[in-house]
Amino acid sequence: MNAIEVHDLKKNYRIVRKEPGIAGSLKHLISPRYEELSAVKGITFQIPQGESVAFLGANGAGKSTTIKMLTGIMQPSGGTIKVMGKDPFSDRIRNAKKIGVVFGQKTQLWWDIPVAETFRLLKKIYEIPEEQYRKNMEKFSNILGLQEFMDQPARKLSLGQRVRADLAAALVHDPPILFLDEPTIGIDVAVKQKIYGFLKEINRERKTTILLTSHDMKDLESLCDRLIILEKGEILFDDPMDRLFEIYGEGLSLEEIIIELFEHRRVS
Amino acid sequence: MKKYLAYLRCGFLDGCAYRQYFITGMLANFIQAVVLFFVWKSIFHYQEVISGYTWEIMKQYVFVSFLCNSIFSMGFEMDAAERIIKGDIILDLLKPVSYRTMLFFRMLGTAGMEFAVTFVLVGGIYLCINGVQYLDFFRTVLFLIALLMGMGIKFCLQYLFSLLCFYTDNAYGVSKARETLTNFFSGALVPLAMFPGILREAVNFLPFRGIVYTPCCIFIGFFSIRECIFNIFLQFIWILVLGGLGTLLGKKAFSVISMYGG
Ligand SMILES: Nc1ncnc2c1ncn2[C@@H]1O[C@H](COP(=O)(O)OP(=O)(O)OP(=O)(O)O)[C@@H](O)[C@H]1O
Ligand SMILES: [Mg+2]
Repeated sequence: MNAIEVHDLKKNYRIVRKEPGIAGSLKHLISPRYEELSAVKGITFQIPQGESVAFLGANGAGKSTTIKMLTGIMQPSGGTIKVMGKDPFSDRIRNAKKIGVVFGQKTQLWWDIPVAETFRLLKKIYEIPEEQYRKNMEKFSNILGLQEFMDQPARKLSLGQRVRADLAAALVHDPPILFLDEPTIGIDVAVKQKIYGFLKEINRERKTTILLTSHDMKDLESLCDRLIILEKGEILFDDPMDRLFEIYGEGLSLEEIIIELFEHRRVS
Repeated sequence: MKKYLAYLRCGFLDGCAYRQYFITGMLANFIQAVVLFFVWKSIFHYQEVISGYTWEIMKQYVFVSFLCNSIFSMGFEMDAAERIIKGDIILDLLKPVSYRTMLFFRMLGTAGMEFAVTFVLVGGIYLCINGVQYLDFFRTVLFLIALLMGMGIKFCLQYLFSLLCFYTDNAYGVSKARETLTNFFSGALVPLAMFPGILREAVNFLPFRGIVYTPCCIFIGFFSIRECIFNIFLQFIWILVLGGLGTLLGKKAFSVISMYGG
């Protein structure tokens, strides 16, 4: 069964056309001008249950935009999405139970109260049984070292600590699908390695479907079987990771291939 | 339901983390009430009865209206708008809970502390000034019900106004507009009975009166029991209407919003 089915998905943002300076701002007040920015231009793909997919693309390619639509918090401008057979936007609450999401640059931790309170809240929201909750928290504590800062409010954590806590928060209800948008920014190499080891483990054992974006090729390469490359809102490449090496030669690293690919596209 | 109680708890803890903020805010409100008290006092010095209000009644009205108005007084438009602009609303929507219900309980938790403190403070002052002579058990119960209903109306209004923040970045303006409207038309500043002619009739058709004026009149005894029941019923209708409107407009707002950041 396909965990995710996306068909001809589009997203246009309305952006303000404002001339610079005070005069421009005043002019905008009187007659605002808008322009459509096409961030995702009709992409189609399926992800079977249990697959781990890397989502790759230059800055502004539309990766985060796509993930926001897949998680059901933003309505697409066109096309259809099915997550476990249901439309995530119209079925947001039901969908939210089945997914775990990390936006690396955002935090779901409560800013002014201890991190432990956030986890307590999550336990209630997702109705996690005591046993499962305890087991998970123990596991995360080992891998992510949470106990160091559980009693601190989120605002007092370092970037890496915060991201570690956020990752645990996204996983605590054992979601069958994970959307990870740059989940390892600011995390040191040792912890990063542990995290990817752990993700690989749940992907293998629990058949958790993973969709991951990162600008760190090594991460993607170590975890993901399949690669989707987005460029300017369109799919440039969608195949198993190995295919890329077949096409571009075994000698090169993923990073080198991607750099070449982007450069090449820009010229043509 | 347990889910939402957990939000209540977190909201309360969050409120406690901000207690200085609350206390200064409340102090400012309180000074306003005291000023109002003395303004009315000097007005009644010149005229004994205004639109059926005597100084004896006004002495109660000032404090009871202050109490009614102080619930949810912070407003969450600013908070909600900030979450939209920074993109943090994404994280609220990723949870398997109704956004509005979640907001309600979170705010209730945060406001809970504020309200408890105000209740003790204002109650104390009320008793110092007026004693227990006007208190009546049955009326007090009706008053508390009306107070809760008023809170519901206020929440629905704030939710509607916070939806405006999906369309505009000017959260401060939205928040101020709502505050001014409620302060004026709810009877928080001036009892609605003192409004001039046509305006006095008009405000009866607005939801704002349910926030302050209705509970105040019930408490002071301006309404007969029949009128009390009718007015509480009216409050209830307004909650349904405004709530329904919120559902409708919320659906629209959530489909246009573009989630920032990432
Ligand atoms: N809320 C928004 N309003 C208007 N335009 C937006 C909005 N969010 C994103 N965009 C635009 O849409 C395009 C795609 O953005 P998106 O965030 O999806 O990129 P990305 O692939 O995640 O990039 P990065 O690797 O930098 O995170 C960009 O050109 C961006 O400017
Ligand atoms: Mg991004």
